[in-house]
Amino acid sequence: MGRVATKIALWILIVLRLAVGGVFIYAGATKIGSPAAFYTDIQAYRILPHLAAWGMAVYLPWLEIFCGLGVVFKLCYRGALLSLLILMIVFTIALASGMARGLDISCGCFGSITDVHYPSKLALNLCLTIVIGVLLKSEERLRARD
Amino acid sequence: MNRLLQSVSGQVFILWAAALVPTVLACLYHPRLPDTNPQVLQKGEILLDTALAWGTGVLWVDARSAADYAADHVPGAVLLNEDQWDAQIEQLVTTWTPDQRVVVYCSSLACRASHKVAARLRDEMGLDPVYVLKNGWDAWRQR
Repeated sequence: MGRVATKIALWILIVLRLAVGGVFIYAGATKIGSPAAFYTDIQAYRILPHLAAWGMAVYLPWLEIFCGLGVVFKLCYRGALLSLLILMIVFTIALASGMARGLDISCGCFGSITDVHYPSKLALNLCLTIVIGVLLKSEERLRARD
Repeated sequence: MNRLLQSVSGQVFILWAAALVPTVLACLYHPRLPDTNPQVLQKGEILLDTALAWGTGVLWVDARSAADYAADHVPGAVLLNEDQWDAQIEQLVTTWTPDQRVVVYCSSLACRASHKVAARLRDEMGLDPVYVLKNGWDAWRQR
């Protein structure tokens, strides 16, 4: 790959990194103000028992913010990406299960303002998961090359 | 993948543990925590038994989709959801009488439609009191 192409690829990775980090910081920030509303959204999926949903409602937003910050500022970078990858897989499974059961829910992704439209939400989740995977893979490659 | 997991497990642990710190603080001091008892009513919510005890003094508002409403609904309920607000609000206005309390329901404990419709009825239509049925249609089905 030529120098220009390498430079462009690096810039694309930086933009993707900031976008992914920003999305999760925003997602967490919209939920920390009202864990009660987020708890209701989690309960809508009818997957977790009450106490687990309660814990997740308080903990998950902070985890999203910490991982988002980790990605943006490249602190614990690979750990943050791997955590987000795990979260995205779990979220997508929950969403798919909600769709399969025909649940009428608010997705709980960005606070309680978003009613879930399953196909677009699943597509967004898939895109995010792929981008996180690409970032993780490229970081692994860079480390292997160094 | 195994190699990756081994090399970053420390970082994952640090991040997940770090997120616990504000979580613990939130558990201690956050003013809007979820209630530890799921049966506790949030502001504006009402239990089915209470609404039933009001008898005919209640105007039921179904905030689910038209298809769900057509499949089954609370007897006498008026269909009103956000998607068809302008078309459906007229029927509610002609049905409602000032002595009636309005109780809005959607499909379950966690749907948001009933809260949104109730808020609009209060703010835009000036109706009062307007309640949200706890557990929504699920509560009615399981009564």
